Amino acid sequence: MEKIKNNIGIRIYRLLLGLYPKSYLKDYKIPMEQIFRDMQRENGKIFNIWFRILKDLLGSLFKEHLENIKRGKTMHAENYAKNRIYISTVVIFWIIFSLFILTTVGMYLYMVPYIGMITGFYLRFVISAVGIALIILAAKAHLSKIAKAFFILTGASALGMGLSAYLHNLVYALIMKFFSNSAIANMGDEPVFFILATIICPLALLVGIIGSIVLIAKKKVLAY
Amino acid sequence: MKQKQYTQTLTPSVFYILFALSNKERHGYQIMKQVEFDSDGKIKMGPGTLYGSIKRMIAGGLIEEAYERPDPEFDDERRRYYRLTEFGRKQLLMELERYKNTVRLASKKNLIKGFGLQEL
Repeated sequence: MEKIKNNIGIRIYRLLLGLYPKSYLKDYKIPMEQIFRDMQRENGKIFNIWFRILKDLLGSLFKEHLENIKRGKTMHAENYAKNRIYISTVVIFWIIFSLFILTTVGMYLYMVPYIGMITGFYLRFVISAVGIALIILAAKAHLSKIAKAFFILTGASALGMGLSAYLHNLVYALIMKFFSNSAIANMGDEPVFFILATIICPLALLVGIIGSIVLIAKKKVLAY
Repeated sequence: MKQKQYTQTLTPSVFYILFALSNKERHGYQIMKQVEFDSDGKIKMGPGTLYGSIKRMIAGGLIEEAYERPDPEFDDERRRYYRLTEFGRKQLLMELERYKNTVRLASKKNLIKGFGLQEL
């Protein structure tokens, strides 16, 4: 009989514990239940136990919830400040990246006969690497949805340009290896990656950069 | 930084919890009983008040969880033991010193004559 009473008691107490904030329960639910069991074991009088428990609940519930709200506000403010710093870093990186890529693409498109194969190879590598970095930074930052889309588009198109150029050259080399040098003349140049590298990705890059500039100017970068 | 909040006078609950842990590590229920005993039944804590205070005292650096169990063989694993930190001990001694000075002052003014506290 006593055991049944105790089991009912602990179940009711468990239900009441649900009124406390989750963060508090995460740390103290089990030890609080343990104390309740100890109280039941050592102090058999149900009335005394429940009088003390209910008085305790009334006193501590309000206090814990209030503290939880205060802590939540502080954490929100800290996260907001951290996020602003992080987003500022992403935006600065993005501006440097855009200037760099616009200069490089311009140089690459119009000066390709003069910059040589090796320089072209490294430039494409750098463009792809900064593209990946921008995608990761933008994905992790707490940006507004539209800002995130434009930032990622900028990074992805830069990566696409670099990759497409590599793949175009690779297909070109494979054709030369497995067929003959004259095959290129007969079949024509590899068109898919060529169009991606020279038309689609640069256009997407421009859209990404212009869209991002507009959002930065309108201060619509932050998620809140 | 966190510890600054306890350089002022301690609240009765905090004082009695520190007092309960001054000579040994205890788990929650032991602390509760000891506080009741030390305060002559004036402070009767429930689990919510006790762990609320414990949480704030841990955050304030006054106490800490003791991961070694005094008697692991006969003990429930779910129990958590607590002990004083150096800072907590210092705060308790400072508080006791404050009480001692208050009693000395009151004694000098004959406010508590007849309680045998003159020798303080």
